[in-house]
Amino acid sequence: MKHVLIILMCALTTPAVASGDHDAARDAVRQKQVIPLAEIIPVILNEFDARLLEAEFEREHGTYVYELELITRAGRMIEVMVDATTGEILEVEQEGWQERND
Amino acid sequence: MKTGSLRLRLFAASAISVSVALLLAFWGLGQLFASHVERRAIDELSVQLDQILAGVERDATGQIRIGSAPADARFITPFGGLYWQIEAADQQMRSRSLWDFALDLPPDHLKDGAVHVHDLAGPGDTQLLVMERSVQLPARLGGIPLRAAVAMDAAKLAESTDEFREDLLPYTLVLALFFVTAGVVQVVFGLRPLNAVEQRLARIRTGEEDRVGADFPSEIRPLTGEVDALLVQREKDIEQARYRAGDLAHGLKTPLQALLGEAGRVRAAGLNDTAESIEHIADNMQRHVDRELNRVRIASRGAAAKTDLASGVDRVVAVVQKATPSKEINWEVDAPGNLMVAASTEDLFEILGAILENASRHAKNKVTIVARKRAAQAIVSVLDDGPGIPGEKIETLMRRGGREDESGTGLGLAIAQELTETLGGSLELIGRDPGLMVRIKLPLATT
Repeated sequence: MKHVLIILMCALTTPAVASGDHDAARDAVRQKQVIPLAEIIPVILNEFDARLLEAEFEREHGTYVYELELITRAGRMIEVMVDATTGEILEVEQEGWQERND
Repeated sequence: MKTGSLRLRLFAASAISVSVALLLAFWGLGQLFASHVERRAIDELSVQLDQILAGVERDATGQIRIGSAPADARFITPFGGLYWQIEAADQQMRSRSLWDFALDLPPDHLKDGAVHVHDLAGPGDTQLLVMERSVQLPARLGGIPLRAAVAMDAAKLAESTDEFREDLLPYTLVLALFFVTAGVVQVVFGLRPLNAVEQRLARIRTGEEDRVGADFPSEIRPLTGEVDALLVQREKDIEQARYRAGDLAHGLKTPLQALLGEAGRVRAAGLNDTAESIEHIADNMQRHVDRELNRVRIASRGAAAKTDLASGVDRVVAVVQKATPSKEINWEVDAPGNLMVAASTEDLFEILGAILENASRHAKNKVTIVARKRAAQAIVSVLDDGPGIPGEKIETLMRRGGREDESGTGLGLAIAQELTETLGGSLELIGRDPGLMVRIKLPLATT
């Protein structure tokens, strides 16, 4: 019972870290399935004039996705979904409103 | 010896040495700060390394894992700036911050417990400061060797050193400004005695002082001593030359008298023309001799003499009045009280005495004396209302050969003229109708 609780809490608080997404990302990079994050970040940061807060690597509907959390120089927090295979921006989610990019 | 400015040389030397010293200090402090920053970074890495090693666990399947990774966010955010990596047997574990990148630890075989520091490439073209340690795990964890490394973004370290240099720069510039200013003050203050020497030499030239003296810094004293020795030598030389000239003049005096006597005998023998010409030549020579003797006399009284002209005129007038009590003469004197002439009292009396006595002798009843200052000279005009002298006779009168009368008036005027000339002035006779004007110009004494 106690163990279950702890595991649950871990899962709730830091799901990304617990899942070891960086190892998955490394495997995907080594198999040349995705573009390394280090190559994507400068482009994104430059485009949004922002600083990186956090990044996650996920597989959504069969595609690898980098989910980047940024803070712009103006102090706005943005979440950007990037196609890890092509480097294309899939979705930009901003506080208070949403925008879809195709 | 090079010419140019001593001050400029000293300024340049101080500016160069200050610049070099401050550049060295600036560079050296930067280096010190950089190594200090690196030491602090290595200290921190070693703490992190210990914490990672303390968290090493083995799970149920026998796999090594980090049970409690350090909570520092820089280990968790991708490319966060702090990284760790563990290698044990065929396993490799990395901090989440390394993301898809793995440290390429060099294949050096570390002794157990030994610590190595490397500079390695990090994620995204970064440069890392890496600290690694090899340990033997306890039996509880499988007893296998384990290699653990922690790393830090070296750019952050370089950044803080750059910031330090940026902060240091204004202080260095202020220091440079201070040192250069101090150098200028030193040079100006240190070379001030040279100005004093210059002023002293100028005073020697104007006759206010006769020696440079020894009240100077020890570096200048040899120079002033040499100048003084030179002055003494020159004075001796001049004195000797003067003596010799005086001796020569004295020596010529008797033969000249003898020559004039001979001329008399020639005249007695009827050769009037020859006698005249011999007398003329002898008189000319006599005049040169007298002038030289006069010069010797004046020089021995000192050149830097000064006498108040107005009081001199008054006293001479009084003396002349007393000497000729029989004659009723109205003396009109107009002389300002602040004219100091460069002549000793005796010389001034001798000049004025001869002129005023002459004027009083020829005047009917009035002598006018006017003294004025013009540029660096005092001009004294003496006018009598006597019969005067015809223009062509004035010329002969002022030559030693010409004698106005047998009583020797011309002699007095000639002596007065020579004295004024030796004092650096001049004397001229101007015929007036009626009377004669004598205009004496004398140099003013320097104050």
